[in-house]
Amino acid sequence: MSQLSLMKTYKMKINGNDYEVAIKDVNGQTVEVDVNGKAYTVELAEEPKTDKPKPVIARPVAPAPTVTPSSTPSPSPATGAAGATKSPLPGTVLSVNVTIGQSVKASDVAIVLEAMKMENNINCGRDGVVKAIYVQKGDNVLEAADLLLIE
Amino acid sequence: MSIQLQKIQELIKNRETARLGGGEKRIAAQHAKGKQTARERIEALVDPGSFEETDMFLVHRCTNFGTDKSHPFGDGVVTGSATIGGRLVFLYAQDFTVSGGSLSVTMAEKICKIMDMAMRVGAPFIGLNDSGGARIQEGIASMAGFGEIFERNILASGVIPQISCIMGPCAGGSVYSPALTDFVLMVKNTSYMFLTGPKVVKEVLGEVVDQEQLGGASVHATKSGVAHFAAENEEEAIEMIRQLLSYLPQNNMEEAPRVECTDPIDRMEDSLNEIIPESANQAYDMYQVIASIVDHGELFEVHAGWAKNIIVGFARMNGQSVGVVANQPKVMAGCLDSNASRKAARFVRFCDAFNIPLVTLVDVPGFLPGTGQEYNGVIDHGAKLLYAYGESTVPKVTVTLRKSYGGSHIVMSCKQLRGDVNYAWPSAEIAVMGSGGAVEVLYGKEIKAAETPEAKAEIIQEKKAEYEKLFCNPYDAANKGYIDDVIEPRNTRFRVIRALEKLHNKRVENPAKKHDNLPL
Repeated sequence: MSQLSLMKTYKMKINGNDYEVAIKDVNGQTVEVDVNGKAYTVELAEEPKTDKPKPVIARPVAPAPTVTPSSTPSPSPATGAAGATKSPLPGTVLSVNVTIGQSVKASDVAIVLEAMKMENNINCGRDGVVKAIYVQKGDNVLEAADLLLIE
Repeated sequence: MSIQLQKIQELIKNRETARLGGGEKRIAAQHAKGKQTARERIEALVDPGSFEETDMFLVHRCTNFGTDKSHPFGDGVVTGSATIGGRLVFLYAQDFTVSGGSLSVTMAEKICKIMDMAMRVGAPFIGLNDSGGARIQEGIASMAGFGEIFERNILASGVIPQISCIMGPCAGGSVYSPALTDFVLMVKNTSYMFLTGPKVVKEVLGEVVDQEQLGGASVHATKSGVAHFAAENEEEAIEMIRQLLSYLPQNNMEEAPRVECTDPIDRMEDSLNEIIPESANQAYDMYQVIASIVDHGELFEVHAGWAKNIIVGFARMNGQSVGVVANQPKVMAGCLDSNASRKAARFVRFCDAFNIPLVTLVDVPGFLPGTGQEYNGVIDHGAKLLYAYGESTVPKVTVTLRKSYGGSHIVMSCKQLRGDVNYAWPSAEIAVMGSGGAVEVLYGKEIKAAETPEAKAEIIQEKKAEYEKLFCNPYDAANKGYIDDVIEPRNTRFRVIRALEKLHNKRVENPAKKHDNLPL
């Protein structure tokens, strides 16, 4: 297998991060690449065909550069418990009017939330039994935060 | 039989064939799904005997994929004109029993023909949607058909009221005609709307979701706001269309029909004098206020299930159709957020386009703060409502019941946005901001200088009381002419009606322009 003399550069975006990958040297299944200026030696899963070099999937030998998530934090604080009663607005819990195991109706007031300088009644939202309560008096909650689970 | 009689016989036979749509088997299948046929729906919607069908004998011209073997009359849609409550409308109803109601270029031609007629004579346009989507066999021609319809929806927007009722599937390109119209009604459990169906969602995203969860009536009426109304069944949906039309004019050059008012216009409502709770952080139900002041307590609510922190809907005052916009303190403290702003902005613009006066009831603590809102572009959404009120030239009567603070005060039809008559109740607090925040800014130095926490609290308390006395009332605004009068709550109905009566001949023109550029 002859060496490919042409240096090829690929630009790609993974998880919102830009990577510039330069293939410096291909020797059999061992390839030397530069990722954003850092050198790595990787092994190809398959030997490349000599006549038509095409981009191949490389398995990194060196540990892949650690990707730090972009600085924007996720705006959604919801933990995503399916079917949980969620806070419609950010505020402070003034009182929790239900207990675990209690049978409730959709229109029952579960929590009183002080927000926008008003006491907001948060209804249970569905008929059922209170399975979990995620907040207590005095907690600050964000918009769409889980408050309680009714099943 | 003479040749002429034979020809008449043939016509009668053809009509019968056309009226049968896709045949009895498919009609039975339609009924089994809890759905009516296109013609049954039209019959239920319009005044008895008033429907005149157009293009009953139109057939498709497609030859691909064996489509030339069958040419059903009408090509999957029933179109024509009729009266509703004695007033002319143009309408179409897609016939799911013929080719699944799929949209062919010929179906589009039929729909466009009645849309053109509706525009020519200035009458409302109604679409009853029940369609599998584009007629794939026709290729890009069916897309051209969609495009022709959309263009007419756009040109008719603000000229004639356009109403869409979704009574079955409405997916892909089909959703855009309803989306362009003024009001979308959906029937619960039998209708759905989405751009891409559950199958594609699963393929592309791996997300498993069914049709109802993805685009059912309950989703669009509570989560997305795409549907203005969700009806329990087809009968209710049809009744809603009839009711809705009764509040609307025929076109943008007319006024909504006035009905005789048997509810005394000077009716005193003593309960309103006591509806505002003693404590500022307690809520009350704005629906009670609306019911107390409009004719017979009747509100035809739009978007009842979405963004409930603001209430919008049609009502009558002294028999005149009005658009009511009111903050609801009972939900999310009545604050403005992205959805509430969008909901109210669209409603205000509709009313303005169709000469329906606006009655605004204000109790708004402010815009909802937080990353959730700011990331969502609440600035732009809030600006939409601000824009809508500011540009509107219909009579605007505003009553401030309690809170009206800062930016949200401006947005909610304040004097400077060309509010015509602005009243306030004695309980109103019209101020730049609440006392807590204001005192921190105004007396920050003094508070910081306090030596003990007790002293600090004392200063804050004292300064808050001073601020509240000065600003948390209607008189600071009334002193400056931003409020025309402070009125007794129980007399609100009479005062609003009198204001509307005197504004009846209001004429205000906006500067000439190609079109505006509101922050979409």
